[in-house]
Amino acid sequence: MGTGRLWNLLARLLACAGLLLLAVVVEGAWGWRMNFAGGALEPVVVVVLAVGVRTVPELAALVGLAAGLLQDLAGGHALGLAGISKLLLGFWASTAARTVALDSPWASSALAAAGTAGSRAVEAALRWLAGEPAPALLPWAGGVAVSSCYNALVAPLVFAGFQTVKRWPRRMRRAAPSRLAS
Amino acid sequence: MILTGSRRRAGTLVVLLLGAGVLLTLQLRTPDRRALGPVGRAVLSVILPAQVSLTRATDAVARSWRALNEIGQLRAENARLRAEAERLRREVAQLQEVSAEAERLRRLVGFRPPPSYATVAARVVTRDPSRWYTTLTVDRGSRDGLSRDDPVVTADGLVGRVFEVYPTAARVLLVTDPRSAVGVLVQSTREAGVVEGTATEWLRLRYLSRSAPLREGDLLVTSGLGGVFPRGIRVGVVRTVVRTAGALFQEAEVEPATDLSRLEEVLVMVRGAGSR
Repeated sequence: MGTGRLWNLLARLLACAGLLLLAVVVEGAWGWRMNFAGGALEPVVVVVLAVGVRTVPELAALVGLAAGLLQDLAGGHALGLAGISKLLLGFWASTAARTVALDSPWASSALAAAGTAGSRAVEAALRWLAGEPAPALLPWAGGVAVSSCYNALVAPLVFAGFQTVKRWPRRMRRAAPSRLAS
Repeated sequence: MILTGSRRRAGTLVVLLLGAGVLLTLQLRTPDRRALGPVGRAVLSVILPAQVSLTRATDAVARSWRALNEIGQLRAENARLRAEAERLRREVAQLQEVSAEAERLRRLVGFRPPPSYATVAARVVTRDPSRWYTTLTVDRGSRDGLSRDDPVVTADGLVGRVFEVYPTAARVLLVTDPRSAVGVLVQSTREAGVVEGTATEWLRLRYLSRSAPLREGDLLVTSGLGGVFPRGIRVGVVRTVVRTAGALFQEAEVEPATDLSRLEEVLVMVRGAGSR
């Protein structure tokens, strides 16, 4: 691996870490304010999905795990509860993006809704395995539905924004020789 | 050994899952079901202040937004409360007016005229601002039995006498009018004198014998001489005694018993029986 590629990878990892931190901070500070019927916007889920859609499954899983651990840290839970669920979410999103075309906003929304519901289900199962009391089914399902709707609403925007940011370095590289030539 | 893409992915997933599972198991085995290492604490020391700052910023923005939204409501409420306050002020003023009037009337009703007189309550309707202490007009006249020279009083004392009578109104010459002269007695000594008007808020006691004892605070009442005013109506109180060397009589400045500047209702004493 050349020095350039190493720096590039490091920059991407730092950007991912910053984005995840931002998502965790925003979710902790704002997410509960948008709580409706037990559900709220989950920026961390959307960011993990966006990373998963645009990168390879291994990196998506790693990013998901990091995001979940950050959530566990910030939320005061045992490290790993959200970690495992987000790990699976990232991996699933990346795998799904390789098999299903996500060209339309509707597809992005559907992916976000399904990913949110799946992630919450995995997390609930883990909590049950960890010996925590299981929540009442109907309120829990209502909260999952609301969160899924919230995330489905913002997912197309976040995915598009993520794609735009990812293309910047390429555009800059393309623009640089022409400027030198002039 | 070269792994295929799908195997490598599955392997990575399994490794990560195992790692997370081990971490979770270790966490759950601690008494608090959560154990933070130095790395966790370091990350938390970044996350928590950022969350606190963001929450505060959000709260500040939310408060500002609420304040902006409340301005319209506050304006409407302010206008409503102002109107309410104005209405209440008017009501209070009306009630105070009614209360004051009731008090004045109660005092008037308490006035007991001599047996040969009846009283007619009258309301002051006009006064000449340029000659405040000379005359006033009341809303009772000859139809109500009023006639010239009828004494006019309040519960506090003498006001003056009727000097022009019309069917529905009458003009009253106040005791402070320079044309007015009332025979009086010093209540304590029974010395006689005459009180004249000065066109000011004060009266002047004249023609009192120089040898008669007179002090500040002495009460003057009508003497009944002259036939206009019945005997014993309070006229005023001596404020300043003036004794001029070589003069036959002493004089005094007298404060009227009735506050003539605030008259609103009076009693006209009509010769006859009963009150109207």
